[in-house]
Amino acid sequence: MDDRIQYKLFNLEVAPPENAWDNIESALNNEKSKTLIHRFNTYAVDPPADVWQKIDAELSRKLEPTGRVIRFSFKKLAAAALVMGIIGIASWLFNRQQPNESLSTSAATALILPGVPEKAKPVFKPANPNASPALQVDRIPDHLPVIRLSKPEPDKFAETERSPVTFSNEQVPLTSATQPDIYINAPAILGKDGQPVIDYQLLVSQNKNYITVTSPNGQQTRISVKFLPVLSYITGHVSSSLDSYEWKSRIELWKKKLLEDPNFIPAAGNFLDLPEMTDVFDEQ
Amino acid sequence: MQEELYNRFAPKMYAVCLRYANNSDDAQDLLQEGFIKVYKNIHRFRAEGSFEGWIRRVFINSSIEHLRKKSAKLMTVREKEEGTIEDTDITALDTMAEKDIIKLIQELSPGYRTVFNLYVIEGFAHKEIAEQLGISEGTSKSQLARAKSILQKKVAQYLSDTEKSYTREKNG
Repeated sequence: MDDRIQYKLFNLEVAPPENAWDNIESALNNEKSKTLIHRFNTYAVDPPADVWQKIDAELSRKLEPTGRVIRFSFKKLAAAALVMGIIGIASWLFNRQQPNESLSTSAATALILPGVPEKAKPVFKPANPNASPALQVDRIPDHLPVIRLSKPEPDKFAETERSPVTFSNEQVPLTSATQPDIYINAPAILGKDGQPVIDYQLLVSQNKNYITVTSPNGQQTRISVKFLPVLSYITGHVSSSLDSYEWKSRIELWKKKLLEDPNFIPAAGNFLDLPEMTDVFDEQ
Repeated sequence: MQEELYNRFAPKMYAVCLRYANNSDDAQDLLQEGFIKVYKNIHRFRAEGSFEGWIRRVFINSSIEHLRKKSAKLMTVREKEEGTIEDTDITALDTMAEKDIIKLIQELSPGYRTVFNLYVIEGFAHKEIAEQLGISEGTSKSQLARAKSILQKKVAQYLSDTEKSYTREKNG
């Protein structure tokens, strides 16, 4: 074969028919569509009819609130409010009427109750510079209602018998500069030894840790109950539980020294007015 | 709106479920679980791809999760068997109807079926399958090879049965 013809035939170009590419593309698509991926991507099966109902029911169940709804009726609410109100009033009355402290401290308790105008409370100015620091508390005014056991006086005692005085917080008036002191003229209760019997329950507060002491000038202060035997011994109570001879001799020594000291000023704050007073009584 | 979504996609998703399930009952369960997940997570669809693709992915994940719960051990092939399994040609499947292919796939064990579906039908790579199923790539490959081998036998049996049936009909 001539080389030129071979060259011509090798490089021959003939335009294909117009629909040739469409046929090829269609054939390629058919081939592609046969692959499993394509077939299953377009494959669909109608599910059973009741599946949607199950899904719908499940969705409805999930949308319901899971927490239990508590509905209160008006009657129940009203009853609860009434009960709460009764309990509140009862507890208030109970706390108001219950003497939560001893008789000797009740007056002091009343003094610090709120409700008393600040202007009505006089400013405390200690008369004695040697007074106890406990008396420097300005909430304890210098004009206190004093509950004091006095020596028996026949005429006043008879009057007391006619109109007995009961003790309660309600009847102890709040502190006011215009209110007079409360004097309870009660006879001292004497024991077989002729000494006044001290009711420790009246002196000791409920928590049994402190006692409130009222000095002759009406000032009150709280001291530890540990000092009660000492105090009762100082005031001349024979049946004191201060059994230690050492303490007794010490107290006697201090008393003697203090009374002999020219600079000593017995005061309610230092409680040394009591030994002085007992000595005065003894002398008389 | 939910029902419209269901009506629109349920047939295709049911076909997906049928491939991953043992039978039609399980497929219905998968369909139900899948749609509930779709409704609950529809706000997560970012419109970055096709919605159908996203739904299909939800169904596939849901099916895998379901199978995991059901079969404690999804993979059954030992690592030493991997090298001995040869790749099998399953082009005969192309001549079968989808319905019949699904029946054969359902006869596979859960592990084989899942890997076969993920690789052959969904088009995932072995690495992706390994990550999804928590197995090694080698295990995924060996699972696929075994699945194909089993399917080839089943397809041959199916074609033989079909031919016999056709001959009987023609003669009879």
